[in-house]
Amino acid sequence: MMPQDMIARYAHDVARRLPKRMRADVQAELQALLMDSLRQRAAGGAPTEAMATELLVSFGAPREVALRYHAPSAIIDPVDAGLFSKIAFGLLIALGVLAISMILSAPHATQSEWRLIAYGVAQDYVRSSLLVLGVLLLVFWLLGAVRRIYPGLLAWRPRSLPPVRDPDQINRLGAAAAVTAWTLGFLILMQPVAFFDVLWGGQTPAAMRHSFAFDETFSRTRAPILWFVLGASLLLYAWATVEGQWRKLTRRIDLGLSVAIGLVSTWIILAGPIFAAAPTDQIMKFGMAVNAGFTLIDVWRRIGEERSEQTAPPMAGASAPS
Amino acid sequence: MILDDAFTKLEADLRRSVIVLATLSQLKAAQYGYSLRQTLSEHGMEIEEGTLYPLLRRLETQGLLTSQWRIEDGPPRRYYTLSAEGRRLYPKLVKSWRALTGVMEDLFEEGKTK
Repeated sequence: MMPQDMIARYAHDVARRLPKRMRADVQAELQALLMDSLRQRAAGGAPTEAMATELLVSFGAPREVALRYHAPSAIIDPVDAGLFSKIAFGLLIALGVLAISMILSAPHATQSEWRLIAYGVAQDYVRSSLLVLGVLLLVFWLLGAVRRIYPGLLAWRPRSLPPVRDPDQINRLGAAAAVTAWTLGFLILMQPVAFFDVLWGGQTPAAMRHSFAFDETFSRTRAPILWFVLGASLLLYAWATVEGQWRKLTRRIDLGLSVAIGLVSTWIILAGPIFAAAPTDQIMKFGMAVNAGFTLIDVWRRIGEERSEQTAPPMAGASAPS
Repeated sequence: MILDDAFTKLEADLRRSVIVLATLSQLKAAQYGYSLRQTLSEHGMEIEEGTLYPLLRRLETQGLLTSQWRIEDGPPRRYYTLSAEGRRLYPKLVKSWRALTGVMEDLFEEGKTK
């Protein structure tokens, strides 16, 4: 290729990446400037293709040069990139937990039927993930556009700073209310029919008794283990509430119990029926799978926090953990 | 090797911060990109072409330079010169630069005695 042609093509390649209003002008100027440089390199002789190649390589890739001429506004502002990644990652994980929970709780007669269900759910997962990411992208693009058009509207103010909270500190009143609610929920979970009897004065309809009757094998073998880990976790939370804060030891035990709840729940879902009636069984398994998924993700997050805490400097005014 | 890389990067950062001022200093009279680069180079200020030419455009967009196509001794070229705003701003920038270099000299001297 003739060196002049190379320069012309290069200038065109840079210009076509720019807004229309500046294309022709930049192309003409760049071509003239590069030709000047090329003539200087040739030092009075005829420019060669090798000289042109060397010049263009030193000038840079057309997309990089175009960026120096005109930097388009980012689809996601760099200041929002971290938040976008965090939300996108969180939503994809949440959708993943829901998808796995649907697969685990779906009633199936054969292994191939289960595979078919898993395939269908996986397809739905991909579709919904792309939709969620698309909507999120649109939201962040709009956020950036609003910020550029109305710079004062979303301007940062010191009063919008989030409060610094000690994660080990427990609000006793709120925690006591939570412990009470969880205890009630735990008792209902252990004895659903007895709860309905209390509600209806012993007149619980037979269909309801049948729907909420536990599977015999589950009641005999797996239920005691589940009640034990859930009960232990509840007791630990009640103890921490009385103390008014989490300590290193109680935090570690809580982490261990969370792992146990996640694993025991998964085992129970896979081991067989929980309720004798199929619809209740499916709903219960779905709920347990969702809970197990989020519990295990929370464990992963907390392990990360524990690790970073070991390397973090002590905060001003903070007391040493016991 | 790591030291060399760090030097190259930090020196490039230092140069980047003075490119604008160096460019403005040579545009009281109109120049086109290539001749400006030559002038700067003769004074020891090497600036890559791929950096200088887009910079001229950006300075023009910011209102500090004006430009026009001219034919003088060769093919048509785009000549840049300081705009009225650029002429007002340039002495202020020079003053800031001198104050800054003075401060830096003081810091270097103080650093030697510690």
